[in-house]
Amino acid sequence: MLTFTIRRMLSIPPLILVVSLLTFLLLKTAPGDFYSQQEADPSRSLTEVLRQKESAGLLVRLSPPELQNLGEFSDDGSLWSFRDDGQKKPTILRRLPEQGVDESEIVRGRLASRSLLNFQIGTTKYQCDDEGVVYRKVGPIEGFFSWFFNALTGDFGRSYKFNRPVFGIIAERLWNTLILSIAALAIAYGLGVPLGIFAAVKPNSLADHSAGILAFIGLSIPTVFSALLAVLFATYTGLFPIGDMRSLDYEKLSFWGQIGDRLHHLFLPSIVLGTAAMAGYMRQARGNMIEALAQDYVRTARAKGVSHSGVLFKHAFRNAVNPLVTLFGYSLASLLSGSLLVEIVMNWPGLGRLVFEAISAKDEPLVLASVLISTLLLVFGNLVADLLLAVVDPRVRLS
Amino acid sequence: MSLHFFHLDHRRVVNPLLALLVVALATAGCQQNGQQPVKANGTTASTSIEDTTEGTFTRSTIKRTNRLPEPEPDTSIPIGTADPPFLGELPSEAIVVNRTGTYGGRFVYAILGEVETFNPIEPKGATDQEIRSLVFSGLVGYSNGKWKHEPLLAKSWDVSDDNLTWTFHMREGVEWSDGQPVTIDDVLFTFQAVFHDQIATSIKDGFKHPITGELPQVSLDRENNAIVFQLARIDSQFLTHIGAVRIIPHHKWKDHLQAENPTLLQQMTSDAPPEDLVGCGPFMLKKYVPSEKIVYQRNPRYWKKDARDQRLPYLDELVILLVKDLNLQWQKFEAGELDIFMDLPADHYKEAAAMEKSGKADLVRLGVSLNSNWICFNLHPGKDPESGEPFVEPQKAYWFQNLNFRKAVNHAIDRDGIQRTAFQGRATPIWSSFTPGNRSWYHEGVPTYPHSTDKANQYLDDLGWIDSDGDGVREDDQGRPIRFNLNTNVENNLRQQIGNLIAQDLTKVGIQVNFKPIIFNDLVTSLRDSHKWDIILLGWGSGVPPDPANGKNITTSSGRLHAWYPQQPEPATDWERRVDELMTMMDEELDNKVRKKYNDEIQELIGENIPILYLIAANSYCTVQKDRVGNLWPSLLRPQLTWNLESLWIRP
Repeated sequence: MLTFTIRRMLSIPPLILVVSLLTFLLLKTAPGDFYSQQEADPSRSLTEVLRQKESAGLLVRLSPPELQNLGEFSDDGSLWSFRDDGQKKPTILRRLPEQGVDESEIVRGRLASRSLLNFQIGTTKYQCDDEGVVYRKVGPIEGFFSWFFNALTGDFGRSYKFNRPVFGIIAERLWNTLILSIAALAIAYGLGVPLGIFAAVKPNSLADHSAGILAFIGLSIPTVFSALLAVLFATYTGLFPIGDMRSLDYEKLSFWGQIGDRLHHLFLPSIVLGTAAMAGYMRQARGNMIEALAQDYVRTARAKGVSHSGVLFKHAFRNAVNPLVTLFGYSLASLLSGSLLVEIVMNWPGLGRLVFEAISAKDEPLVLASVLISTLLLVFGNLVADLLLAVVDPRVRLS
Repeated sequence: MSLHFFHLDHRRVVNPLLALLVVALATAGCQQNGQQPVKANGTTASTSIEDTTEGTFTRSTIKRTNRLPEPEPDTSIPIGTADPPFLGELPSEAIVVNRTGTYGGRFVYAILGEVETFNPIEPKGATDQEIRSLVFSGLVGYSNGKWKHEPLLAKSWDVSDDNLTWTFHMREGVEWSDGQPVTIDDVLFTFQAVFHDQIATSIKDGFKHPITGELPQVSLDRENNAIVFQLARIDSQFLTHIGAVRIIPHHKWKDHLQAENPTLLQQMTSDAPPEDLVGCGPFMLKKYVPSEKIVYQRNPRYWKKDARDQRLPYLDELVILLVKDLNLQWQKFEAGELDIFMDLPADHYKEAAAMEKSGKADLVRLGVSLNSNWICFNLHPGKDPESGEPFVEPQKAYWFQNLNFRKAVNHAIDRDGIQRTAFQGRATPIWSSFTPGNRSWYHEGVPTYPHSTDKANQYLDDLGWIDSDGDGVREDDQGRPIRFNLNTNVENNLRQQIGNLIAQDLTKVGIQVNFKPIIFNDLVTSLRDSHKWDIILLGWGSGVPPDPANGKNITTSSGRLHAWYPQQPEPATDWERRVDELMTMMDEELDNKVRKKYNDEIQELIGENIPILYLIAANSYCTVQKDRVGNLWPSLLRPQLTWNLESLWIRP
């Protein structure tokens, strides 16, 4: 089992490299970046937006000597070049051979920037701000590896939005999401598996069909909708708080009061999430149980005079539980992301919301960090499931 | 009014990208309902807010005066006790606010955004801009109620005769929340930070010389306890730029303004301990729980007093809930958990009206919003440098460049229909970016193109663009059927409705429009970089103060957001050259009466040449719990109700 675990662990680094590279490239292929919004804001100047992009590592500023080394290039029908005069900014020169002017003229930064906003030499893209400062755009591969090598040293970057190290931001919300997901998982398993067994004992009975209907309702109502219903329920009955994770006066409550307050707030969202997931486990448990109960060894056990519950739990259930354990491994991976919609609708201050917003805002360091965490959870979830399987089922040997 | 942001409605899609953007389109209300005066304030001193729109429903002629009355002091209300109590001495030069109120209470409201940073040197999202004014204070403030600047840390200021030297006289005796005195050195330090070469902040933008990028020279006049700014050119917006700078304490942050790689922007981030946020605004940060709430308490050393010489603020505690979902925000307001609800979305108008009817809340009718919706023709004459293809297909460019064609389109659009259908009457047709709600800059002389299918047909017939093959679509004089695309951003439902209505209207005059909503980022990219679009439907939001200078990037031909043809190397037309001139003249003129004349001419020029057709502006509403908050002074300018939190009080 130890070699198995070690082998699994060894597969993690290449997996992470590939997953983060793919994430990075996908983020880069969609149009715009985190600063697009600011560039579209008339009250901001391009100069400051580009400076921010520079400090975020999306652009690299070129010094006058570097600019001079670019040589002459054509853009918008004119030939441009930079001359390093030892000043802070280079002299910008323009030539218009098409119009018969072969003499280079000096162009002021502000005027030049209008033509040179975006230009390209070979495959490298450049951008110029209102003051004639030229930046080179960092390509996706280059950007990825500079992130990756920093990550190897433990520096996962700062969020563009919050200007803080990413894991600090994630840590603030991680626990909240875990509480919700674990509660939901407990409800899903705690209700789903017994209901499944119950339905399987008497297949096609009224009880089985009612449980089936319940399961299909749970499967077919989208969580957004049931979350909205829950909010409405809370509003109109006043029995439960309207969203949030704790009440406004949480800090003033006693220890037990705080726990009670949290449970009170946890109830509706975890029910919404739990019942949605429950249906799947229930159907799975029912199917496995029916199959196991039809096996010869069950008949043998019954013939030997084993009690009904003994047959169910000692013989049939232990054989039916394997797929559920595997499912459990996967559900660990969805612990962090599965509650996104409920978090938004019910204002749960969790990670899903943060990551969703980071993805749509293209806050790349934050997205990458959360993808890393999810990947790790998936790998560990699978590992845990496999190990558990070996524990519950002696037939499974890990080598 | 100013053109500030692209703004779109992110009320349905929870999209943080849009957190930056102001949301107003969804706020729509109803002008038929104006019979009863609305009491939003409910103090015994009858500070009711009258609905200024007339009881009779008159289409498209809404009264311009949306000025809501200032609350009046009432000495009969109890004073109460402040908890935590005030500390230190009230400065002799304390600002007197003509209000009365009772100490105590907690004020709760919700916002959609998230705190990106508490650092006032680099305010990022709209949320940051709103919350930084609670803890920090600037030299000059802006009153959303009076629509004008007022003194804060500077007790007065004067301008030299050449309008280039501004002197701000420091108010004496003001203390930081940690007890240190606020001095001109703090101010100098703050401006050194904002002007620092390696600090990238949007606050710096406004101070830059438009051609050279030069920044003003700051110096101290210790003798007169004043700060002096030497400008390189006259700047009509200088007070606004000064007002955007919140002063930070020198004694706290002096080690973080290094010449190379200053670390100032890494301070006061969202995980900073509350005691790091030393400010001189009305409140102090007590606790910030990410994604949940921001809790403020009174700054015990605040330096304003009320009509009874009592120190401000009245509120013991201020809670801003971070609720990302507007529906949930509304539910919380309906359940009484929130004291106010600003920027009421159109979806909740009916519920708000019902709450008003049942006496649970007051619906405040603020008048026509400052945000405009428009469609714009792509008049870019350029070619794609890679493929050599023109940005706009030749036949489309041929149509769009034709002024009479644009007039025909303008006449064909039924703005009243849009008002009735998409806005349920709670909107006003507009002909310029300055809506009737903008009482400072609205201009009545802008050319209008009232809805008339006949007129539109006439223009098109005169051009000889007629439907020659009988398929319902006109062909131009070279036989090319007139069809093009109309795009808007898919996130905004209301705008999608408007787009559909426009497409229908144009079909009636034989113009075929393919209406395609696309995602905002794609839209902005094509508007700014790829230029591959035909007609776009979008909106401008408004800044505070709503001055035309904020729209420089939109109005001037070299502007990044000069939508129909951005970043022109040279003005493409004579009238755009004139507009550029006028914008510069307006920039360098301090007299707003003269500036208004310039701006009127700009609006007329744009209205005559209509590269952009302004369509409609929604009405603006907010709601307040009945008899709960005192001294509210609602304003069309954002934040509508919370701009004067220091003088609000909660009825016990």
